Amino acid sequence: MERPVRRRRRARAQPPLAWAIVHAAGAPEIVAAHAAHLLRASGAIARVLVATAPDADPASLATLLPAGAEVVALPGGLDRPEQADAWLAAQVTARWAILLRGGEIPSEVLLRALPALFTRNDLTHLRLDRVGTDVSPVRAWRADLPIAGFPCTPWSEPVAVGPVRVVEAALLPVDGDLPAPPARAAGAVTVRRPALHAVLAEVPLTDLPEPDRRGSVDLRLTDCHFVAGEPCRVRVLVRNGGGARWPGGGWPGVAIAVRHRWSGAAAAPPPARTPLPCALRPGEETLVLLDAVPPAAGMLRLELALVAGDSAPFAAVAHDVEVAP
Amino acid sequence: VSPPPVTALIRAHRDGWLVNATLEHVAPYVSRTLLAIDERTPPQDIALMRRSCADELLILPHVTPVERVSARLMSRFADGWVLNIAGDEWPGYALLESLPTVTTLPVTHVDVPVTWLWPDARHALVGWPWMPDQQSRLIRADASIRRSAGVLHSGRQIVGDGRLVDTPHHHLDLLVSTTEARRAKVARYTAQDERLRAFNERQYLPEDATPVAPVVPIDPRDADALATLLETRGTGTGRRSRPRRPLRPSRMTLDEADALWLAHPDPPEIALDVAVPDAGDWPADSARRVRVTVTCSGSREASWGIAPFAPVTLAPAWAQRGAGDVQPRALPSTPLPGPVLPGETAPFDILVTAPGPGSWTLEVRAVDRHGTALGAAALNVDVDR
Repeated sequence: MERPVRRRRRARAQPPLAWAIVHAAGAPEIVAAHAAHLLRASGAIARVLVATAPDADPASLATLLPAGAEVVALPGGLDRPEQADAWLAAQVTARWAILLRGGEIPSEVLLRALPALFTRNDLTHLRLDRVGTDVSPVRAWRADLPIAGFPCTPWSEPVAVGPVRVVEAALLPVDGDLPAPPARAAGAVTVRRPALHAVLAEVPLTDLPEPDRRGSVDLRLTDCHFVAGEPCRVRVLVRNGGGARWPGGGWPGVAIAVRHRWSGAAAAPPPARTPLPCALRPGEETLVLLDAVPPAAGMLRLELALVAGDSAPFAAVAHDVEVAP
Repeated sequence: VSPPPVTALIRAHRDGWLVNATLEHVAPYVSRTLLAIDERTPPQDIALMRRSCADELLILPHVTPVERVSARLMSRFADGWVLNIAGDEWPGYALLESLPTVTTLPVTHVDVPVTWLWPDARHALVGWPWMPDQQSRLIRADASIRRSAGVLHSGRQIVGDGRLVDTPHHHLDLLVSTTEARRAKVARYTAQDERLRAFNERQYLPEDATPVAPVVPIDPRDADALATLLETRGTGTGRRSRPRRPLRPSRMTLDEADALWLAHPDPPEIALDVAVPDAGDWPADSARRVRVTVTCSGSREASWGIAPFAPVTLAPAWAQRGAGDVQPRALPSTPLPGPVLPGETAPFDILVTAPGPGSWTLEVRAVDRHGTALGAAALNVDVDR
């Protein structure tokens, strides 16, 4: 048997501690510039991506930003800035990401807390209290772990799983005149202009278009010993045969699931759905564990199919199985 | 070829020949190997394991349950992935060859099928209770996405998506342990939980199954390697002697293990405060965010957790004021959503639905896994129509 020869790995470079995403739309640009300066001065943020509205002049904003900032000129055609959340989050190559909406300023409390919070190894995300409101959205998350999702719908906020810390009085609304940040020479801050299709490609699908409703479900029959009325955990291999990324169960986007139902019995229970345990990119596959309860003894048919939201099932297969009394 | 950033962690307490052979089998596919053995491992096995190809040998305190040391053990890894292997297990070639691919997936863990080999190294049992036995064996080495509850057979609790793959991880216990040893194991497990008697008897004693337990052949590559391994007890598998000096083991102390043991009998000292941040009326049957502030004193952390093994749970309940000794109405409880270190105060939000109109007291208790109160706070609320 030929085996790979093991070579020692070189020590991997640690990613920077955190990047910030600051939306400039919805408030004067000076607010986003001020937030960027405060975040950079905190010592916790290595880079700030300032996302501008399509009608803004990115060059003029660039002159207001600190070193380590980058202007992202969002393309026209987006309904709301939140639609770019997933794309912006995907650009982050740091351990943590923090997100500010247009018109928000980080408080002193937050800025003082961030360096310590970002070095903790027992948190996956932060909820930040917005002063003057009753909401505490997820606004910072571990960007090097797959623990956050972005609905990208109007007024939506990120979602995350894992241990959380709430930071009280963290985000301040703009109140009165802001001091002008120190001006920088034009050209010192880079401007990135992502294409609309690139930004929209990261938005979770809310419906699975017909061409992407392609895939397969395959029952692992060796697992199965069916007894009437008793749950039997069976494995089903699901493959994404379409061209779109399928979201995992519980995350933003269309709910894709394995539907199973029994036929051949006098009284069959309604179909049951088991969500995907993870996202699937085109061509990828995963096993799905589903609990099937045969309604009666005898020769029954177990019907499997994939469903996406409320649309018609696809990739249907059926297996005749013997169910013991 | 640079191996993927995976540490193979093998936990064992006997059968040095098998452990060493498994290490030889796994080492070319991973970046590091750690062999963690119980301090009561027979001396001849320890001597053998010191000659293994492991990168590190760690001696663990003998504890019951063995999960008591898991949190401390996993805390040693802060980067990459960990492939967890028991001393009587052998990952299939397909699993090892898939490591460079699966460790790039956007998931926090990968669940592999554990196959129970029987009656020989070329076949695996199918059907309940041996299959499916899909277990999270490949996990990102990051403390923020996993918990080790430290309770018998509690396994690991992991947040985030998991990919379920079909590359087998073979369990050899039924082949390398005698029937008498497995009967004794069933007796031990059953003594701890009588409800699992039938399950344990069937799982560990397939020779007693009637009708005969069904089996299927395994991957021929795995079958050939395992048949040779078991026939020669590791001497015919191309095993190389350790080129360097014998491994010098390090030790984990019981105090070190218990410092992170989530099921420790001494609970954290907790004080609570509760408030409703939203101003205004609270209509009947409507949900409201309630802020619970947790202060942790003493020396033990109030740990976040995942149901059903969360070490600390926030349990709200409504008690009607002036209703005498009427039992409060319990509401759904929530595992502590984040950690609170000793000396820290941290706010958390829970969602609470108001009862019917009237004068109520909202009680929030922090309870341990057994329901014992660790701290409590209350707030008077007038619920509107």
